[in-house]
Amino acid sequence: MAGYVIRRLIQCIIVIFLVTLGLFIAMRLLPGDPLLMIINQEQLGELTQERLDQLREEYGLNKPLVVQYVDWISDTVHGDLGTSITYSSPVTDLLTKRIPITFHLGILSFIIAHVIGIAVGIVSAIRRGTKLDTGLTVLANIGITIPVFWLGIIMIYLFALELHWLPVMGYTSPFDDFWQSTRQLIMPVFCLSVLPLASAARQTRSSVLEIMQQDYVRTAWSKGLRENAVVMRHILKNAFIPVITLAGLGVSFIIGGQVLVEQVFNIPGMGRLAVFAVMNKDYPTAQAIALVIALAVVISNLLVDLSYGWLDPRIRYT
Amino acid sequence: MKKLLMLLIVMLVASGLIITGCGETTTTTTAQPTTTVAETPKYGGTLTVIYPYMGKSLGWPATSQGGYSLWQQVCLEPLVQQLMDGTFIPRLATAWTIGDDQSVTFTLRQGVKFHDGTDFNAEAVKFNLDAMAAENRGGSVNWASVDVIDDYHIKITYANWANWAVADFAFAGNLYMVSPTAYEKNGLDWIKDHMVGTGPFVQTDMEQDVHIKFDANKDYWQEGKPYLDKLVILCVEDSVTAQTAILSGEADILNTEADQKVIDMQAKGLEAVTRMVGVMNIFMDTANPDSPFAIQANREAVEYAIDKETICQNLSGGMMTPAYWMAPPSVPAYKDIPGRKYDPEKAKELLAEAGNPDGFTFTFYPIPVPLFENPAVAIQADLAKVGINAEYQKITNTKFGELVVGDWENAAIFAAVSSCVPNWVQALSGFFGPMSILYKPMLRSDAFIEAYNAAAFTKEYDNEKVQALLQVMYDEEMVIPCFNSGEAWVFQPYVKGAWDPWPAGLQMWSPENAWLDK
Repeated sequence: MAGYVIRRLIQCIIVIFLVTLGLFIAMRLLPGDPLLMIINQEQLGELTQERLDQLREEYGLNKPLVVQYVDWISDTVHGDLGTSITYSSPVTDLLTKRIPITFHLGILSFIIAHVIGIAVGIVSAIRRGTKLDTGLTVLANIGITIPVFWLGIIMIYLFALELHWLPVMGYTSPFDDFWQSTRQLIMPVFCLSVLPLASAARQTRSSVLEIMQQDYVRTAWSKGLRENAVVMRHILKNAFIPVITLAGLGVSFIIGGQVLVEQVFNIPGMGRLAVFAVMNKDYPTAQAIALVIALAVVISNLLVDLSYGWLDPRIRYT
Repeated sequence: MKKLLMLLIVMLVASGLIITGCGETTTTTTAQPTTTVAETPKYGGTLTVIYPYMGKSLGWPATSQGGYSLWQQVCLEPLVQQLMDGTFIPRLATAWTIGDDQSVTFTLRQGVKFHDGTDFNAEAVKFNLDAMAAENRGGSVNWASVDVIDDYHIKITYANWANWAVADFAFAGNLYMVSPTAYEKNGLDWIKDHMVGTGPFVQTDMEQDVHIKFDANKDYWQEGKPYLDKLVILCVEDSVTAQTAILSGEADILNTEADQKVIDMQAKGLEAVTRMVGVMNIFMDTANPDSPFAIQANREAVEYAIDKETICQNLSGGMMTPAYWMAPPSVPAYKDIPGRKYDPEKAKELLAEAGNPDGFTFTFYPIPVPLFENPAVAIQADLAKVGINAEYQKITNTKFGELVVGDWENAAIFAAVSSCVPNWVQALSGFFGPMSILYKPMLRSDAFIEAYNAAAFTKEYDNEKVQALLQVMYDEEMVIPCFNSGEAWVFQPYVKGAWDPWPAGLQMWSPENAWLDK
């Protein structure tokens, strides 16, 4: 087990390294000079070549690309993610403010999507062929196909503009105002949850149906066990492996989906910062965000892999 | 199942309503700020304003980006205030004189205090001007010296005089006064995020790219003002979200470019004030002898081929207007001329005259914002009708920035000159003046330079000379003016006084005069 974990950790480091390299190159392939982005049209009139050269030196953009990459990696390893070109402040400070918001939304969405999704999948499977199953399956199919940004706009139109039930936008910390925070989070969390919820429901339904055909489940029913006991003890644990795999992938969807959701609902999280950083070629900020996302995905995949052994003791790590 | 069907129907109807709403066209007339009915302002309330971008370093104008006055005006003030008719109104200076030695001497207002309780005086002004000079900002490259005469008099002597010297000290010049004590006590990083000025509101909370909150300045020097208790400016980047927020009543004011969406919002009960702030032009590489644009007949052919009237009507509901003159109708230098109006036959004749009877090909770069990108597609289609192939290149903001200071060949950039200042040479100076490093591939002819010098370097503004300069630009078809573009403030009907007066410059308002009639 320990050997497996060490090997996986080494793999994770290699993946992270490749991600940083890929992103570093991709950002530099985008056209345009990032320094000109910090000087808007009105200021362009005051721009001089000396000023441009001064800024280029200040941000280390006059160095060869290899040196820039090595500098960045070296600083990152020492906990310094650099200084944002557009904000002129440490990237660590920016992320410290934004990551909790993104994680707040992400964790809520993840929990809601998987608790409800798994429950819906179980009910659908157990009540297979009923009107309830048909209805839930149709909803799950809609959930998988619906575009997040469209859903967001429709929800804003219905619940904020027409019904005035919920605020259009914004984020408030639950520690500052729990009720306002909850009202502001309902729509974005719903939007972020829809796809993983629908996926979890469909996957759970199909896994549970498959397990229900197994002999040991038939034996459990024939022993006269109650439905709850059969489902919880004998079906669910065995049906969970593919669901957990899907949940691992859901982490990357939820983080990626936040880019759109934070934009539509004007939430000052990491997703909105990522859009801003990429659009403005703010290399240090964009690279740091990609690094955080890569870390989150890699760690969640590692946890998923490790959970297989707990769910199914027959699985051995070599 | 019935519930499911109902849900589907509700969603389809909702999406249909949104699409219908987007396609709605009206001919509602845009309101203009008025002072005709004297209403008694009411005190109290919180005003919420939405703007898509929040500038950086708002509290330290020496390093702040321009174009964010909407935020800064709430806390910071300049020495004077200028209106679009060119008149100046005292602000932190009560009087000023232009000397024969290329200097301006300001008499400063007494008894004014910064938000931190320290005095506003000539030393404070010098501190701020020195900070600007250290960063070569705010026209400081033209200053020879800044001298404190006494506590309330300061003299700026110019090495290179231009007749917008006093205007540099108005809102549009970005020369705001910040408390020297606040800077010295807290340092540069702190002051960048904290606006400590003499303005009508005091900053209480700031979250970068999210919001700034303000409380009324109880010690404001304009007695009885401001009328509001609190003010909040929210940064909302997504245009649909911003519109929905004001329509749902979550915000009171929205600043945006003047286009069809303003008309749509007016139709839904909101009010708006608009004004033309600049001209959207095609900048060409006329200095390159191999470029088709080196030949004036080709340039004129391009202008004759563009159906500006139809584009304006169809794409902006009339909020943009056709431009034939290199100054918008909101400035004194504007001239209503017949211009090179849409005439595709004339365009073909000119192309033949230039030796290009079948047209020519060039690369077309519009500035990457919808306000420009959509008309650019229409321009491309119009040009194709006369055989001119404009190869549309969609670019990023960074690429655009690179182009305006770089070199390009056989190409044209579709961008604006927008400053919304009455002295239009001041607006042109950054783009065409002798110190400008922008649009280098565009030829500045001797006639242009002579006319520019005559218009810019007189002691006082001379409208005839400015119009003569614009006439040279027109005669030479130096750039192709396409559309006059505007900015709009959309607001709830109960918002009053916020543009009374309406200072010159982009995104300007009068927060000290704003009040809520509810």
